[in-house]
Amino acid sequence: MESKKNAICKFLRARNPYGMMEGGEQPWLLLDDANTICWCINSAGGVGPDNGLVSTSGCREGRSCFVSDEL
Amino acid sequence: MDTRKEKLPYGIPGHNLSEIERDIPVNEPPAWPVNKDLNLIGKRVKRIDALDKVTGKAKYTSDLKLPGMLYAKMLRSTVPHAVISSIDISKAKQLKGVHAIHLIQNEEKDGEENENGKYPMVKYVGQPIGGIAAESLAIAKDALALITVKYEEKPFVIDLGSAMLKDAPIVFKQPIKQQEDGGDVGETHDGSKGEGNVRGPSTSSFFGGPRGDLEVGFQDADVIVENTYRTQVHTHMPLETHGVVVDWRPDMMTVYASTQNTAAVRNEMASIFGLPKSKVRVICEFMGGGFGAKHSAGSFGPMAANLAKKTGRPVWLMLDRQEEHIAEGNRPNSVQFLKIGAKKDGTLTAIQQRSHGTAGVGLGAGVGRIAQILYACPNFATEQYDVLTNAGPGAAWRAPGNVQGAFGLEQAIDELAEKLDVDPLAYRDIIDKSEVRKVERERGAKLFDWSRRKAPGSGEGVIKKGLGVGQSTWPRFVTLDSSVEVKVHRGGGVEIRSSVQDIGTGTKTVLAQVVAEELGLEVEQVTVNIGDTFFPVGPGSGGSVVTGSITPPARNAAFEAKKELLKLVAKKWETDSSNLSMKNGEVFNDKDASQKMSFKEATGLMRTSQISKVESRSDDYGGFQQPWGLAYGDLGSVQFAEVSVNTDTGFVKVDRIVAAHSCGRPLNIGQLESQINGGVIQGVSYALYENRVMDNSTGHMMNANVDQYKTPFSMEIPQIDTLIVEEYNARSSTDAYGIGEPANIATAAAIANAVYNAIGVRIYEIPITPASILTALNKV
Repeated sequence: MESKKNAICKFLRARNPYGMMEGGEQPWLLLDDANTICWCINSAGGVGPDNGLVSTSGCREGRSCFVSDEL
Repeated sequence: MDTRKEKLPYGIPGHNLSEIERDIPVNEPPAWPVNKDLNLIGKRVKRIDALDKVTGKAKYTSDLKLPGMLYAKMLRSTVPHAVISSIDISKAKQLKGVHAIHLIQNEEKDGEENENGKYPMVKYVGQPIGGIAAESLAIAKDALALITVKYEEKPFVIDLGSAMLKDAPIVFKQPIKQQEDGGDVGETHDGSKGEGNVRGPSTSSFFGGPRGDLEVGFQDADVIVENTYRTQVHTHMPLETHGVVVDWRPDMMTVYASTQNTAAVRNEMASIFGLPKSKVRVICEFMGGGFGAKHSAGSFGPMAANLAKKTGRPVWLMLDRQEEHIAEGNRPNSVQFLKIGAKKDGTLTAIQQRSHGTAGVGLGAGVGRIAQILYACPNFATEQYDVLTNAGPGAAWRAPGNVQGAFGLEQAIDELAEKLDVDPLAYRDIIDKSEVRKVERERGAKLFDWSRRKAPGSGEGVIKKGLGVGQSTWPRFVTLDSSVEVKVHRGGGVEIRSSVQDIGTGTKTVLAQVVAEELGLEVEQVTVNIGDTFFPVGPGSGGSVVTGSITPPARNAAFEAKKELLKLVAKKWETDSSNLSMKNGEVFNDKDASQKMSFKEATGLMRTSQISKVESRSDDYGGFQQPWGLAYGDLGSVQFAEVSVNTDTGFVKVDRIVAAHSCGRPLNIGQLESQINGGVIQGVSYALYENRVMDNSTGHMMNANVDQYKTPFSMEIPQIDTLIVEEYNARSSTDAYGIGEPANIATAAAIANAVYNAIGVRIYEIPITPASILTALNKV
């Protein structure tokens, strides 16, 4: 489970199956990896702006399209 | 002390009802008694917006017409995998009535050519490429036809099986590498690494990871069942499609949205456009249904906003039915291997599950939770793999993963019972530790008359009857971002405000009931204004969280407002406010029968124009299993299915479903029945009809309409009898939970078990079609 702020791109949303984190303060919180739809709100899809897979493990600092939550 | 001792109802009336003492926050209202002693709660209260809905007065997002509003249409890819080399919009721009065209482009860094090209790479048919705003929808559609997109097409893969092959076209530019792209680190079942288009396995979640030792468990087993179950891709079909109207003024972006989550749409639009949340307002007054895919702004929200920004005019952008099918989410398919072992006495010794499923270009196709949670078993392990394909992305779909998982698990449990020579319902009594499902089985079996069930395939004649059962569990979730304002106006009006939306389930009505019950008023005396992010934040409508999250703060806010009002009355009567109560629209002095006044008179004592109280969801009494709001217990359900199978034509008719459910303290019986009816109908549709059919040679969905994408019509909907088990958990001031997800989980499994009971041959794949029945019976 991931909850550390700034470690994950600000545009990532983990659309978890339990309907509770969207709108919350940790929209990327990964409750159940197997059931979670990962979505980039910048590219509006499961494919990132760099054409790569959107995932909580992939959308991190170092990726070309990464944007820090602090910005 | 911040807490006080309070005794609350606990257990199931007619079974084990008692009281339990809990420490509760000192400012919480006193415990409500059980429903039979309440005036409005647990009763059949008519929806407060029923008249508006049936007369057409209710305005949905798609009905909006703002001054100067433009209509938008999205440009979508027509190929499944390609690099876009150019887009020619020159002819479209010149069409009279076209006001703006927005193309989705990769951001360029200063002085650098974007290595990803000018446009995003296309990865499925239907992927958004751009949008057009015009004076009418017809003009926007005409303009779309004038745009030329040149593609450099790339190899693609559509179906799950082909995508898993070692030499399959790769959906993303790099093959998936397990450790980098999620899932747990470990080797797959066949020793290979997750790679290519296969991601995973996921082996654990916050519900836990593997437990025990599978090998030992299967060695201990006297009986083993081992099979593979398959489910289809299921697309979303809400009556109102996805969409928004965006009105972006210099000082505020207002988004009218058909959404399950006003707060999430607000937050997303603020993030995307770099606006403070306070400068984005999202409104959803009426909503035409959503089953998990409407939690966000999607791609259409930013598109409408970009077009509004370019034109300076409000933009209406609602998707059509084809777009819904191909691009706005679906329930992923699954291929589930299940191996379950049990001792002679029925005790489960091991459950092994392995699943592959595709959510297209997205993740989230796992199905493992229900096999992990539903029955106690010391040895359990799951491996869940996502298989990426060039198809539209998955989205949450009413109990994600659990509906697929229940279809496999609940058939395997029936198969195990048969091997043990035990009635399948009686077998669940042996292995299921849930007290509420035990009561549901008892009461449901009586209503359904389970004793009619005969041996599988033993019926006479062409049309064979079958009875089956399926069970489910759903966690109790609470969203702490759940707040309500209750206003009491001088002159007697009462108003509720929250950003929580009513997606058609009746949230407005239960909020009115809760506040009216607390204030001793009629429901009609309470005005509910929700679905607006200018009001206190409310939860998203997903995961069955709304009722359990938003009704306690509603009651608590009403309680606080009542206390303030009663102090004014007490001052006038020169007594203590603790002696006063409110009932039937009046304020009483419990110690002096001569002292009473109407609620309206009482509000006349206010020195200000209103009493306003805002309360937020507190922790459950006794806390949560997880700090962010996983409550104790589960929302258990048991559904019984009766089917008729024509063994000449293969046609299956579901005659009757008995749906026994729990959701804590029931608040509105009529609305609960309505939600359960909807869940069951969707379950019937999933079991027998709905199925996304793809053309593997072009990547197009072949039945992206409401004609060939089959859903049940009225004559195909069975008799549905609901049985609601009142269950008190003593966890909040309303002690209520939702029913959205549980109503849908067990239906397909119960129908599959009933079909087996009818024909004596088990069907391992849904939808169960006439062809699959005839094939199973060796008639074709």
